[in-house]
Amino acid sequence: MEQKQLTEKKSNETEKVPIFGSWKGWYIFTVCFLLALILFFFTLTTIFND
Amino acid sequence: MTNLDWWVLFATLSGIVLYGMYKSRGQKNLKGYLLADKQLPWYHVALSVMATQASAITFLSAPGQAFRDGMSFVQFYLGLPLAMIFLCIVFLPIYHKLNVYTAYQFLEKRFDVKTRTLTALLFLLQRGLSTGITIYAPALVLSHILDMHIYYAIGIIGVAVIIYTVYGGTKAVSYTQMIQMAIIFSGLFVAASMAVSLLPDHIGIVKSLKVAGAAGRMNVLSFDFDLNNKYTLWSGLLGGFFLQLSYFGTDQSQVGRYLTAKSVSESRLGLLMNALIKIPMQFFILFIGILVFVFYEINPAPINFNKAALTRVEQVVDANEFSQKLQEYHEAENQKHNAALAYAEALDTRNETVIAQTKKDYQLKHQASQDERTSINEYMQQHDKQLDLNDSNYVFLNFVTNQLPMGLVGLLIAIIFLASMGSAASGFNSLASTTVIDIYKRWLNKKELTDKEDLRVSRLATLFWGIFCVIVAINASKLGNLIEAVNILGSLFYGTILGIFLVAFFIKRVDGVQVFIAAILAEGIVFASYSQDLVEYLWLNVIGCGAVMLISYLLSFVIKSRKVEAN
Repeated sequence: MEQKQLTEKKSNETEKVPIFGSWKGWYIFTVCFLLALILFFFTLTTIFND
Repeated sequence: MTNLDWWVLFATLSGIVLYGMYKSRGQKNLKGYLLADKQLPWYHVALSVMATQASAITFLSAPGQAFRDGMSFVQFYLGLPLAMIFLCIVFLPIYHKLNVYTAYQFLEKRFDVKTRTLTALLFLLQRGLSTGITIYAPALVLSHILDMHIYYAIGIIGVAVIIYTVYGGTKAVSYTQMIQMAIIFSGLFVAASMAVSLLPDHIGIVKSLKVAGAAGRMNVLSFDFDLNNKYTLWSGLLGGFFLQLSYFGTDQSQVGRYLTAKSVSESRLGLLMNALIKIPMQFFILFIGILVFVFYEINPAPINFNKAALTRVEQVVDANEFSQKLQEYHEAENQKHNAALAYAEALDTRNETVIAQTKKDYQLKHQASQDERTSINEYMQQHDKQLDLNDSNYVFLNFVTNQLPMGLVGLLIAIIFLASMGSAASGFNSLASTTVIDIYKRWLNKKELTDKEDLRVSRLATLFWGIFCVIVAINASKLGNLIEAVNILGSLFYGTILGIFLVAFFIKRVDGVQVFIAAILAEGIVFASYSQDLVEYLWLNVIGCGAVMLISYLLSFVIKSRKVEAN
């Protein structure tokens, strides 16, 4: 069982992840994108809403 | 609708249905029918999960919601990217590894059959009702345009979607959703550019946003930490996270989409694309609602956007009295239009005093017009008890049919149909998957079926749920804003379902009996919180999920676990 999980982990590690090279890179990018959107919404609210 | 519009509508819809049937021909077994043979690439997954979530309600209600309440609804989606990341890390690898057809199969492996069945039944109830509402929404369009009774419209749509879904299975759903999303995106850009082009030359997008902001419609973000404030940054991030995690992680209508991918990586990439695209798309749809709002701030708006209801009322009220009231409303509207234009022009002067004065004047005139409208609508409701004061579902439709050029009206109406077909098809398909895999093959007929029998049972289940959803749609007209109705319905069940899954993943000491009792108690707490109006609906997801986790954990100390006994 442990051997099987190890093999699977290895295959996941060696799989080619597009653009950022790792899934961790994708997750960080997604969080940064969300923060940028929140900042954009905050700016819109501050400038336009009364 | 001109002949050209009808042709555009007919060609778009029939083209999509034929394409779906062509791509899904030759279904041979259950895996092909329910999982598209697990052969689809990431972009299919991305577009399919988006099309499933973006129903016709999204395109009908969301612009109307921005028109009446502003942009705050976009905060509802803020938890989605975080939920997608969580899903990619925790849920996805397990589903793929266990090679399941439905999410609920995993629960039997982790707990027991009764927990799996309870969760599947909660899903069937919630999704059956929600899919009914997604059929009702475009039926509203048909009845509005063709001046036919809504029941006939529901029947026509329901039957069309049933035929197409029963024949094609998951493959047809996925292929058609890909084309549907492409058409939907193009149509939205066209609608937005038309809305901008209909504004006067001297009022561009920035001035439009200033006018909308003066009327309180640019409330995109709120830091208010009030549990009774429906849409805030916190309810969106926290409540939205739990709702979206539950929806994408445990609702078979979504799980069934990404289980069709070739591999975990393809599913993962598809879900992350959804995380990146969904909020900008929803913002854009609400933004169209804001443009429509500004259009009607400087152009005459009907007293109620539901034309059919207005015509009905006109037949029962005193004509002179009603005409007098309308006259007063139009006068208030005219004053508002002039004040809005004066404010927009004042923005060019850069004179702060003039800007402040014209803005104050516009705000007063806007409020006066709103008050006049509310008072007349209440007067109308006294004469017609059926009249819905909330006409937000009709705002965008009214704008499209009255203001857009011929051909485009047909395209925009087709988009609403396509969106509805996409999400209803996913709904039927997932309801059938759960019925066949978690109920029929698990309880009613445990013997091995041939591929042909499997297909026949799946098609019959799809047909059954299609008819059920049509019946729900017939009774859906009293639910107010449709997009909220669907989300409230989801929030009543999703928290509990998510709680069961999170216990399965993270609290190893809890077993089937403990989580089963906790789920029933949690559902009671959620219903009590909702019926007593204790919190706004997004928080119900947090309450349901938290209650299942906490109660089952506490119960694990009180009720002896079978695992412990076995040891």
